Amino acid sequence: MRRSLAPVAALLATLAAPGGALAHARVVGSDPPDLCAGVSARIADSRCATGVVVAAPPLVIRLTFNEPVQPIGRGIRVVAPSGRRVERGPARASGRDVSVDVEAAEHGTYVVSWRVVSGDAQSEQGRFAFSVGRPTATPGLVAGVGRTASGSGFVLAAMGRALHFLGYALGFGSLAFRWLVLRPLGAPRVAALDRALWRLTRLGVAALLLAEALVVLGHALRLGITGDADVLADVLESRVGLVTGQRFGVGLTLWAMLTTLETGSSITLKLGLVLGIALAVIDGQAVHAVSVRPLAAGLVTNALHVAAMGTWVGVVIALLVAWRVAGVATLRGAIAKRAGRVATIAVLVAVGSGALLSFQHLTGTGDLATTYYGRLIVAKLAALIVVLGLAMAARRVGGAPEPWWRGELAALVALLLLAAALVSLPPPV
Amino acid sequence: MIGLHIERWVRGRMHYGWIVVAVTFLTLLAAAGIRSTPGVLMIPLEREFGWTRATVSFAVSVNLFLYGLFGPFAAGLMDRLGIRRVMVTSLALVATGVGLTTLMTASWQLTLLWGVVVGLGTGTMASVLGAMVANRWFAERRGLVLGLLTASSATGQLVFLPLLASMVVHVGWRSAVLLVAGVGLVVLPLVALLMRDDPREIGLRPFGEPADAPAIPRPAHASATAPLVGLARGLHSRDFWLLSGSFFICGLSTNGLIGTHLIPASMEHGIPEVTAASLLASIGVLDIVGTTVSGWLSDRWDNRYLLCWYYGLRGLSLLFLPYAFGSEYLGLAAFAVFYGLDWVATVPPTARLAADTFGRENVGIMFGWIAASHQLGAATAAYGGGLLRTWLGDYQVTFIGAGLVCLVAAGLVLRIGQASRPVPARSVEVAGA
Repeated sequence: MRRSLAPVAALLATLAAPGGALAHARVVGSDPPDLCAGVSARIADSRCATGVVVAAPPLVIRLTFNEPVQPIGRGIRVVAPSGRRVERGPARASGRDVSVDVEAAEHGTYVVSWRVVSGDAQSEQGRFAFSVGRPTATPGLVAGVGRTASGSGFVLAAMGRALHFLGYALGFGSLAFRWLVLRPLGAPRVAALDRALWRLTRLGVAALLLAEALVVLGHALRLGITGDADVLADVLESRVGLVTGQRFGVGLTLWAMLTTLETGSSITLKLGLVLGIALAVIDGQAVHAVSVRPLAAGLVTNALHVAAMGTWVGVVIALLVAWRVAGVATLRGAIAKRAGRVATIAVLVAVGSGALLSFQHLTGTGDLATTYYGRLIVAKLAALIVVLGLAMAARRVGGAPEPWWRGELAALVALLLLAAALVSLPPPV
Repeated sequence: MIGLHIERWVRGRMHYGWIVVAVTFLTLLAAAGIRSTPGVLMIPLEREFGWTRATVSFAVSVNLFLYGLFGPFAAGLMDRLGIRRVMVTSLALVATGVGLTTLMTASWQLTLLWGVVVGLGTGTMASVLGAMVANRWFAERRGLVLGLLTASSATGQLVFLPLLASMVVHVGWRSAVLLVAGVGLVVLPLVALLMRDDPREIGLRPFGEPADAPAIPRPAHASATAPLVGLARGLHSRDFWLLSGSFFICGLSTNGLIGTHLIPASMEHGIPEVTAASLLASIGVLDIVGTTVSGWLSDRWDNRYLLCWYYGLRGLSLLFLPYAFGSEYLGLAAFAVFYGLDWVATVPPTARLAADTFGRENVGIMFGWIAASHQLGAATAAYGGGLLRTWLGDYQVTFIGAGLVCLVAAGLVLRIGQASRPVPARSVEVAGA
């Protein structure tokens, strides 16, 4: 694992170069215009509360996004000064534009709120005000500009993603351990080890399935499930539902395969690994990979990253499990050596692909300090260094390596949590 | 007494059994055509009466449910009353029910006519009829006859759709419905004239039976409760639950969901009704290939793995369907090929597994119940799909959900016979997935 320092340096070097990427839907224009677009809540003043003043009532409210989006629920709501909803019918989406007809004859300040799902299956919402004729008071809007998203929804969705990564590592990483570590050793099968490893795979399946429920619920909460039951339905009908369905499908397929896998079929094991790679590609649809051009580059980089991460974490977990199983004492040394080699390669791939992903999503090194996204990348790097340190210590320090591995695993789980938070945040553009 | 003349004319030229097969074939084809109609009626009915997708789907679901539930009892009914009498009554019932829908004004009438009357009427004209005719009239070529009659039932459900759809588009839905009822009325006199219950009735032996073969006594009337006894036995068997559970999902994902909702879903994505109907029809044609190949494979491979692949691929193609709608016709054509080859390909392996599990002597009744759960699944999907469409405004969740349960079925079928199967040796490699 010593060799992995070079890619870390490469990562730091590549961060200096700008990368062009779009992700997470943002409003880039509107009709009538949003006076306070891009103004943070802290410095928003009363003008944001009343917005632009137009003389003639608009017939249509149109929002232009930075990328094609799907409206959620009615998509755009327009509340008149009297508190009445004045949009007519659900919003229409056409490419990057979302529009809705309105009846805004009343004079005063109107509040437009929108909810969409972006191409990378992230839910976004926001609102702004405009006034017809003269401004009137709309209490609570300033504080609420773009900050209405429910925090618990974000946390729940991020938890779901972390659980998904963990499920991936358990479910497919344990298969990778069989294929990459146990099979080449050619050692006789130990029933107790076999059972312990299948337990990991089953746990992985359960985590993968549960994770999707959390993600969907998180998105729905984020968009305000309370007070609008249709939000859950709309989240399911959007890209979120599409990707969730596919990931759930992969989890179910792995479950279906379990019976045959447990007979020791090597063909099924290979199919299972292919399924794991497929899931890594599918994952790319739900993170920022879809915003990278060309699309294939984004998906491949992301898939490599996810697969390498899953292999690494899965192998470490499986190694810890194997260590405890009685009856493998004679194989311990060989297994540890082989697992170390597999983990090293996985780390190399993960770091390399991670560097590419950062390159794709950051505009420059400055983002590392100024944006949440960048700070999380720095935190991931720090966690990675801790993990590598622990892994090296396990090799160099004499005595039982198990405690070091446990430490490595704890740091790895922290890394997974950071990764889950990272894919839930908008990258800087 | 034209019937007698024809009977006399046929004698010496060919075995009368082939006339019976031809009449049965036509009847099954007509019944299948009738059952396929709701898919093309869905949107016209919504437009004319302002009913929701859920309302129309409910009638279809009642129809599918009664059609399936009646299956296990249909055999007993035909034993008692005679095949011909049951066929004639059913055809009359169905033609009247279908014809009367042109006069309806409220949605409960659709449920009564289409759901109850047509559902019960077509229930007797299902696979059990084909099996009965083949068994009574043929000692040789039974497989061919059964294959022919099964195909007419499964494929007939889809191949008329383009014609019906173009009638709906150009002349209106009432004319399409009247055409369907009219076909029933045309077949009815043919059945009345030409159908015979049993070769002995006209002094014949079953086709291919040597003249010196001992006359097989007709089996005693099956007791009316036999299906219920079989059901009770099945409910205690893990494999029965696995088989009927996976077949439930089969029905859910084929005639319940795709058969009922593919056309309206396509139309909502801007695909013309006739094109969408042709898509279903091509699924029906490919189905013949798929089912034949599947029958061949089921003799050679472990049927559990076959079913696992069928359900797995079906699940994947359903997960892919929302993309197919977005990609114009190429994606949908790919979907049709995938789905068509898989449509009733599940039947031969499921029937074989049922025979292996319950023994050949019980398989009739047990498979009857497993098939009933197929229709129960179809009914669930027909109504559930409509309900979800009404609530969500789109079919994405429905198709993805159906894809996911197909993957569950892929897992279920692998677990059939596990309790009784000896634990495989640890090092044994099992082919397939």
